[in-house]
Amino acid sequence: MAYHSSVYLLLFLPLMWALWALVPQKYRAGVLLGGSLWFYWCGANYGIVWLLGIAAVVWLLGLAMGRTEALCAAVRPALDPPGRKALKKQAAALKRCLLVSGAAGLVLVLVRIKYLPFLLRVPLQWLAENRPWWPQLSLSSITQPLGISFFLLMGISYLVDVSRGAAQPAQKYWQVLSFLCFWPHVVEGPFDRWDKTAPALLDPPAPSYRALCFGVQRMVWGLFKKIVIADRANAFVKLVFDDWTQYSGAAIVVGTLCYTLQLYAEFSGCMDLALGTAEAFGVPLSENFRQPFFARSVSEFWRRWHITLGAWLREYVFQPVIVSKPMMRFGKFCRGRFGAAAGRSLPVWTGLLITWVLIGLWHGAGLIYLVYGLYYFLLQLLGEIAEPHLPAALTAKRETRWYKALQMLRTFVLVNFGMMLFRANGVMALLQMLRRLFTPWRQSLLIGIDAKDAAVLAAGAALMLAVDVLHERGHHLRSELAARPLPLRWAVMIAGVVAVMLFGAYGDHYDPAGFIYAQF
Amino acid sequence: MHTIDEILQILDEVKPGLEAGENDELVKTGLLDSVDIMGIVMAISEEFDLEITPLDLKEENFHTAAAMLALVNRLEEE
Repeated sequence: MAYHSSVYLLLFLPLMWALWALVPQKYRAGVLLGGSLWFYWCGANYGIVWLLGIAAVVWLLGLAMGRTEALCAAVRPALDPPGRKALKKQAAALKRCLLVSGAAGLVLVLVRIKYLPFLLRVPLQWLAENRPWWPQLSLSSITQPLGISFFLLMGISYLVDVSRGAAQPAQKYWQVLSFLCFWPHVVEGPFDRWDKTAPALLDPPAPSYRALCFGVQRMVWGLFKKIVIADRANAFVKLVFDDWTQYSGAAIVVGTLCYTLQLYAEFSGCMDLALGTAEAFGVPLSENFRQPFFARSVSEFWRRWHITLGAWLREYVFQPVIVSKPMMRFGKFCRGRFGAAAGRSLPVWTGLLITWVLIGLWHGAGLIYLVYGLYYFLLQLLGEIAEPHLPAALTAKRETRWYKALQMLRTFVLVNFGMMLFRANGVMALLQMLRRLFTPWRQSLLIGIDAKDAAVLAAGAALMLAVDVLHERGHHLRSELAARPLPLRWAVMIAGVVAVMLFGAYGDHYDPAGFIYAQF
Repeated sequence: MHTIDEILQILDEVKPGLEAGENDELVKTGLLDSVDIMGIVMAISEEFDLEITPLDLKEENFHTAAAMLALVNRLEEE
């Protein structure tokens, strides 16, 4: 049941909202959980066993950490200062043990399901070819449960937050389950934090007309981006990237631009559908996009694109790795060998390398995803190295309009290259596409789409750009619309729905496209 | 107790040309990003021989030079 399917929009969602709004307050959290489980069952069937099991493990570990802390607090007053110190140390060690075993177990589940076939493919192939006496091994594949990358990582963040004392552990199993499987964020994120989402999820606010209107408006905008723009661009992108040997020059350039547009419209559209849904139910989810194409550097781009993945990796991988004892020792070693500057920067770059490799591999198990992560690492590293050496005359112009525009253009080009890398059918296909980029394309650029499609795509992209410009300037469009007269509000709403129905890419002419990020 | 000049010197080493004042906002203005902050963390722990944990890596501890000084002095007292 995809977020843009008619079953979801016309049956599931209205039914859930009506039920949620009609039942007494104390049952609303139960309705949300029931809806989440129904939604998950529709998408994953027996894959739900993974979700239920992982939620149970996360809940039990969190509870154990909470009990440890409570026990400490109860015993502490009766102890002398050295005893309190020893107790604190023991409690910290126990919590660390629970956290490490839990997080490692969850990561192992993810590695087994998602990455082991990729990791073992080459060694097993090598053994079969070069060591005939070696017994033939095959790895049984496990069907990847829907959204496993999302609910596993949210489970880890919950455990870390509880162990740090930044969040109170859930007392009931259904509370953790409700957080992990809340249907607006279980398929494609965002990665939400327990302390931000759980209060409204477990004790939902009263239904509100304003929240419903805002939520529906956001969903319509998300639908527009997904069905009108992304699915239409998909027709062009699919042909160029799946049959890359037939295309060259401008066709590849336009195909890459269309893919960037497709991915942005689709992923941010999906987030609009998810956040709009949650908003209608009074549950705030984290924003995942903030006008990414206004970024002036690739690192800023990643602070505006898939924000919650970057924040998750920064808080739970990058920072803990840097301040870990081995990395501090590595820093001291580098300082002794290469000087103070290297002692500071080499550990940070190592942490960055680990983070970017994980970002790459999070997107999929394959060499191309590793290259994708390393590409951004290299760009960031070069930026860090080049920054102090830029001429003073140039850096003095940093805040001028033309300089900012140039930086944005440079970032846009680099990101588009990254998109090409991400979408290419493997490393060899990418290299061939790069070679063919310099062969002129002398045929029509209407590939897989007609002139009407191209016009709708261009208009849709222009509309998205206009909305992004307004958001970047600090406008809150839905609040501003809410202050306008009722007929105008309804006119805008109806225009949005009609635009989706009239210009949406569905029917015999189009391949129905699922959400790209749903497979992660 | 350490002084603000020591912190400003570290900032100058990690991010040459920053020219930050004691109470200048450094994070929200984009002058420092997470990579710069981790460079500062490495420098502070090295310079003052302090152990900084993930719990200390909050934005409020690094948004101004004065906040960094407060963090250093607090960690030293602990």
